[in-house]
Amino acid sequence: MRAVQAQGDPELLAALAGGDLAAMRTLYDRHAPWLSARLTRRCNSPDAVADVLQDTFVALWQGAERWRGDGEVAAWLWGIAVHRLVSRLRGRREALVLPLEDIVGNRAAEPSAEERVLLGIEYGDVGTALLRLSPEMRAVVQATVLDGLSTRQAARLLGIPANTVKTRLHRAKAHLRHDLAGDLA
Amino acid sequence: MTTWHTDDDLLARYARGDAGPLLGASVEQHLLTCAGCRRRIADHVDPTPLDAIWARIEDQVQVPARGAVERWLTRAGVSETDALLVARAPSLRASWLSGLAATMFFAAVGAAWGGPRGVALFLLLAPLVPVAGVAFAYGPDVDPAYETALAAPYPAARLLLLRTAAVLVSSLPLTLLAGLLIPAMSWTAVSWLLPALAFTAVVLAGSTWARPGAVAAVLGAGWVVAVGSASRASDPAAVLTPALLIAYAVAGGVAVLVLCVRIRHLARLGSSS
Amino acid sequence: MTAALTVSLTGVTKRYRGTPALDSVDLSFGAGITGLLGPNGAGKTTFLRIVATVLAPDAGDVRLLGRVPETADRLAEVRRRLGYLPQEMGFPRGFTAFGFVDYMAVLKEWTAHAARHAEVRRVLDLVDLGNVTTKRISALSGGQRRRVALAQALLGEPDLLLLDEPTTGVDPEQRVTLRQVLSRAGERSTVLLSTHQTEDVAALCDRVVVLDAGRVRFDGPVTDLVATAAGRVWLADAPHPAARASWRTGTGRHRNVGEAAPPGAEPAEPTLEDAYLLLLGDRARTTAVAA
Repeated sequence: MRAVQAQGDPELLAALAGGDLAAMRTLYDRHAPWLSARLTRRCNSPDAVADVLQDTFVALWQGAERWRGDGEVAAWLWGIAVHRLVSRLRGRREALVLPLEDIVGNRAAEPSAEERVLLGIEYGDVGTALLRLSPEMRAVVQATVLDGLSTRQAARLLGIPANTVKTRLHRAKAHLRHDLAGDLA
Repeated sequence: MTTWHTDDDLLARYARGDAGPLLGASVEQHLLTCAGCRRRIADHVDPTPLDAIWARIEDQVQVPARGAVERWLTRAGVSETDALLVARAPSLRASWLSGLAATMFFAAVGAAWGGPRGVALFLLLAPLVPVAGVAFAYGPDVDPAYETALAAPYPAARLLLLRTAAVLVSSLPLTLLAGLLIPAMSWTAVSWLLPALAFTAVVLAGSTWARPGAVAAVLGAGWVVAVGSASRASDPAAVLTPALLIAYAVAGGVAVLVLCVRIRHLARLGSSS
Repeated sequence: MTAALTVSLTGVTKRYRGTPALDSVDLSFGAGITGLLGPNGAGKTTFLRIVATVLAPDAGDVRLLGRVPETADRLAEVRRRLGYLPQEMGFPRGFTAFGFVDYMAVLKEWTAHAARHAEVRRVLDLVDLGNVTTKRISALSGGQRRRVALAQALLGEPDLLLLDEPTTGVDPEQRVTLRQVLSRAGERSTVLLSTHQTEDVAALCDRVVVLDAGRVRFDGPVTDLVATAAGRVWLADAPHPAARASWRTGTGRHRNVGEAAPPGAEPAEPTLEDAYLLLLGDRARTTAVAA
């Protein structure tokens, strides 16, 4: 309604911190779709994803003033969401996690030219180096580096022991260092 | 700054889960910084479950959480709406109930160790506890929105009676327990229930004429004088002789009859308003 | 199918300590908005309370829905179709705006919580409080609190809406919103609006009733009341000695109301306020003469 649609995310957050539920509705309309898609790629239970989305925005309502005003609101929201996802997985015997697609799929497939270009833009050389990692190592890198989880949280998300996470991350970093050094040479 | 944007096909594949891990990761990184592509992915995500989730968020954020008293009432079989209305009585709030518990604890301690004066204190407080509870459960003195509530269809008599029942259930057992734990008390540990119930009935009947607080104050003052003079004369338990117990029972019965006859007066403001 | 709730009072009297707050009042109302004007102590609040069924008259009949609501069932039936905003309304502690209106909705027998919550949101949006629903009432301004009180009266689109000073403390911007809400309500319901603000009556009401000392001084179309001031209002540079009342306007001139305008005076278009002042003044003069 009214001018709310024209406002940027930081202004909406400020209004929301002041108790404006309509501002949170707008923020929800803008971010829930991609958050839901991104969460679904890490957890295959629609109920759990729904619960996490609900928790995320309720937490947002209660803690909107905690945003320090730096960076993207979207990134901050993802941080809240992924931590909520991990909390929800605590204490579950079967991990609700979808194994990353390529573990089942084509291990040996070469990345397409398009993929190479895109990776180059988003990640630069690191992106192409990531390609050369095994899927298990890539999963660990994604959870810890991209999603910003701790070792223990990554372990919970992926359904593997924390030590395995540490080992794979260590090996992944060694590979990447080796690859990047090789590229520079 | 990259000017690369996802195209619709890629977004559709990503939303379906078909984009592959690396492309997916790229899309995800991109979406964190691009509002336009975030808008476009909404076209590929089913809005129905998202709307349902929003309804849950809205409820969780706006609808007041149900307090402990309300939850216990519902568990005891009271309807949700009745429980909501009853739990709103000021004398059923946590602050009041904990004050009540503290008072009875000290009264019991006083009675156990204070000899006849301790017993007098207990007898003074015990019947007045439900009276105070009822006086603070209902009426223009304790409810700033009383007049507006009267104009609503929910029967005022029902609200008063339900709240009174809740007050009695919350205060009588505690006081009874305190009394029974005192060895010196024998029958008086239980017989104070009669004046307690009789006074409660009198406050209810009186509220069809005057404000419950006023009636309770008069009763309280009378009881203080009675217990005071009995304890000064000989034995505080003199207010609980069999003859007086019968008198309390009769007074309570009459009060209940008066309440039944005049119950429709509860639905209007008193004439002094 | 809801119809406007007809109200009719016959010989209604209410006394407080001997003095009549209402003295044998006969009035009837149907659909539309009626303004109720009168000085303090005129009996407006007593009148509204009696129509709202929260006060019983000492004498006379009040018929709502064609019958006197005597039994508890009839009373509940009438109260289901009525919305009431008292002159002084407080709020119990610890409520948010949403929470309080929800509580009132429960009292109005909205048992299903999904429908009830939707209705609460609707009325709060109507009075433009949609962005502060989760705020504690104690944290709201006086005008916002008054709007919360009005919102609860609007629950369920009542057929009879009784409002005692609804715009007290409400700022001019919000008053415009409220006028729109009330005007829409008056299209299908019976609305009785008691107020000191003659501009609200002039803007909203087709009919006006003036009460004074418990008696009806005027009952009729607003235009008729305004017409009684014709030729009795004039502008001058200074207060006129022959004027009954005189005050400085925004333009610096003085507005005078009194008996016939003196010859050569600059006549002014009478407003409802002018007519109202003249009416009360006339009453005071006739009582003085009679005494």
